[in-house]
Amino acid sequence: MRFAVLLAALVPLAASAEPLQHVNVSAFTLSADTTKPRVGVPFHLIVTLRLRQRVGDVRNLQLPLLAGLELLGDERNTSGSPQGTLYREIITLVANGAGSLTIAPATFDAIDARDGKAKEYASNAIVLQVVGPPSKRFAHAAEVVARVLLSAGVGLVVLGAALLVLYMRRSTRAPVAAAPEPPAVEPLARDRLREALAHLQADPTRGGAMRARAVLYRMVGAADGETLGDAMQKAKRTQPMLLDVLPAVERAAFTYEADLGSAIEHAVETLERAAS
Amino acid sequence: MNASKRPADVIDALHHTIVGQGAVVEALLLGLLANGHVLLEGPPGLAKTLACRALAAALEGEFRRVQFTPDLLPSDIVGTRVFDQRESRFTTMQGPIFANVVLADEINRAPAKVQSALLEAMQERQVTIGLQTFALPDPFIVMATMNPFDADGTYQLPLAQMDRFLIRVGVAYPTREEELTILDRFAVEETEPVRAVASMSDVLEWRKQAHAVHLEEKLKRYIVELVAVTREAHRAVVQAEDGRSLRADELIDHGASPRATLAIAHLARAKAMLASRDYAIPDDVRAVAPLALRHRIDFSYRLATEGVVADRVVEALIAAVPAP
Repeated sequence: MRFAVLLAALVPLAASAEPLQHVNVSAFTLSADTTKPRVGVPFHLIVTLRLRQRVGDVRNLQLPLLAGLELLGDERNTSGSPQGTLYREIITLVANGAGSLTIAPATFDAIDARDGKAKEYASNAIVLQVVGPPSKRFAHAAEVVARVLLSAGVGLVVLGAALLVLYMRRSTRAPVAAAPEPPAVEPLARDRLREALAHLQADPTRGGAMRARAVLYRMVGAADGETLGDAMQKAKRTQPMLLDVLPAVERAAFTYEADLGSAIEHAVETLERAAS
Repeated sequence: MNASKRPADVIDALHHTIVGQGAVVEALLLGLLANGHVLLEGPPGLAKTLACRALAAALEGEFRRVQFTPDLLPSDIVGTRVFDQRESRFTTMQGPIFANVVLADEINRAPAKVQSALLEAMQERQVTIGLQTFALPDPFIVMATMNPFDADGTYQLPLAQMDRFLIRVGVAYPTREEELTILDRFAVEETEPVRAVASMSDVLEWRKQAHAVHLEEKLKRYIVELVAVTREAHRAVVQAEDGRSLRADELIDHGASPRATLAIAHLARAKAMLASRDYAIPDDVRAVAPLALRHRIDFSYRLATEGVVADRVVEALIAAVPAP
């Protein structure tokens, strides 16, 4: 069943009456505790904003309109440390229908303390696949199957234990190592890769490359103002599938005009490969 | 780029002689590619002279070494006019500065007028002897060494003259493993001489290529910000010896000159070229910034009284500017 794609309209900037804060934004992310929420089952959307300055409250942060989702709760927490401020907002939601759901980026209006200019910072967007509930027609059948499986399960556990004891007694040879499985791309990571790809495909210019680069840097945990070297170090530990992608996108962001087209093509290819 | 002769080959050739000191070797190459002069600062016995000599040998260039002493005269560097009795006329004797690679050993041991003569030649790339002006060879690179420990009887280089050096690189002691390798390599009677891997015309060609490396607008702004922060240093915070946090502007009297801006740009291009790229990235700028900034900042007396190392201040300044 197709579900109407959620379009999250942002609250217009003019609506923000509060004066803008002078801050350095080091991270601004939108995440969900699951990428496959189930209809009727609550899940959480988490907005994280890190500032280099200590501020008492965060003003002018706009959440996307969450049409098609029912809001169950909203919890905000601001904590200060010598490193700055961490603002976290946990929104509890429940989906009303199955299908693909795109949650647009949250935005934060502030004055960039580095250059004194007013800016609109945007988090990443999120794509969710809402899974529908089992239909009533199959509910009874499912219950019967579950009972049968439960009975069979007990038998299988007993049988399995016996086979294990037998195997351990017989096995004197060195165990054969299972072939390593290719590293699976986490669903959330894949979403981020697709988001970066979408930036490059929608805007195959240096600006698009810079936005894709920003998504990838956030993905590996590189703060605002860090370089490729920092991002590669972090990717080695957390996202090794990005080790080819990051230099390709860096090239697209900084190469000369005549090379830009082929650099963007190469970046798109590596992103597609990593996201697949 | 000529496929058979690359700057990386020179680095490899130098590492056949010099153990470790990767930063020094790279700085020498960066200076060569960016057409600038290099100041090596470090204790005696750390292969500073050997590195310069090896570089000249690897490039088939003419190498001259001048040991700076308190009684040295400007004419000992640039040359002089002598009377030829057979011809009954004055002739010009060119000094040791007429070489491709000139090593000015312990530059701070000579008085100011000798330092000025050398630094003027470095800047103008020509010298005047009597009424005649002579162009210096091209490429022409001066590598000067300074020993920071024996300050007695030395003449501190003024900031304006330090500014003439494109790069200042601190030479550190080797690690234990490197020192073991030094023992093995130099224990034999005859060490293998550095073989020439490129010519001076290759260097000129590399310089052209380095000059053509693309520097994106955002990187240019980043470079300007890096130099500006040395003049607006209140944006950076440095940890003192006792753990207190100090604003960097309390430790700096004067920031770097626009020559630092040009130096970082040239060096970032050279760094990109060494990495076989024809475009520079923020990493290139950030890596070369300390080499170009450290000796161009006029630190205040509080640097010493607060027990802060100048390199830490430079690091804090660079960290205060977010890369694009």
